[in-house]
Amino acid sequence: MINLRKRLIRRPKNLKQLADIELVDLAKTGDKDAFGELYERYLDKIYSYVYYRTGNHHDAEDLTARVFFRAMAHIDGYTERGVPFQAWLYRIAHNLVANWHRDRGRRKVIPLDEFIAASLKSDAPDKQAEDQEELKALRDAIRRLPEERQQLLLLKFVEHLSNAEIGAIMDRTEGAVKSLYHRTLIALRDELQNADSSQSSLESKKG
Amino acid sequence: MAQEPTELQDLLDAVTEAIINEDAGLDKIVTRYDVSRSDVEGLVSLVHRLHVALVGVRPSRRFAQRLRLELMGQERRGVINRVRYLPPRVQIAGAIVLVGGFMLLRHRRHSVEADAQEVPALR
Repeated sequence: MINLRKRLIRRPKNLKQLADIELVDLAKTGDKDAFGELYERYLDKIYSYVYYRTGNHHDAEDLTARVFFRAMAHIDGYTERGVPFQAWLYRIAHNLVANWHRDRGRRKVIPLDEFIAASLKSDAPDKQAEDQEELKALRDAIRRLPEERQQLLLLKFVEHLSNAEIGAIMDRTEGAVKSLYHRTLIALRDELQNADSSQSSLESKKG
Repeated sequence: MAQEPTELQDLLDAVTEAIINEDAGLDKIVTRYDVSRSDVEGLVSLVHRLHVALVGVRPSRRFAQRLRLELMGQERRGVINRVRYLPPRVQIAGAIVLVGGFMLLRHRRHSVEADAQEVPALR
């Protein structure tokens, strides 16, 4: 059967030119290079997503490897039907991360310290300290958001996905993603304002 | 509410896309929507801060190459590699079964040896 499928699907020379679904079809026939191309396309994205959700490189590597092993093992059962390959991969990653949090009983938070530090390297020291404080407040506010809102921010800002792509991953319509994003920004702004005002009242009490 | 929430949602969506793509001309985008400037300024600045704070990260080259080799089967896919990527619960259960089995075997062997030593004494 596999040999027959192999004969039916002619493999082009340059896999990079193929769409995901074509690579998936080739990978289903046992073409490891086709799966390798999918791996190259999505490794950084999946790793980045998992890293933000776990907060350390060790677990990010472990879970990223599991995502790709699981994808390879179940690729035969994958059919596009409204869920693009990318969304399917993210769903695997999301489920594995959720299990990881459940197994460890950890809070589902986005750790941002390293990224904030990295993004401030080029600034002057006094500005760095100021920005660092501001970004720490932002990080703390993101941590207080519900998990789905954290996920949305990651998919939008870290992964640079469109609303349609995010919708496919989160099983929502584009309109629902837009609306959730709006509510997330409002909630985040309110969180930051609340944190600011409680900080100010603390300082005035001290003064 | 002075304006339709969808108008604000569309504006935030367009502004976010422009900021992520580092396009200039945010003012032009804002004027396209019927939303008061004061309502969006705080949110636009927040989007800017999110864009600065949330940046992508890449895995180490060594990890990427090693995983590719493992996936492509060019590296020997031994028992250790297979076990390594199993869920922790399965790993723990497997370890318990292995240790338990080993202890049971050892206990049975010990009992048989003890019985064999006791037989001459009975005679």
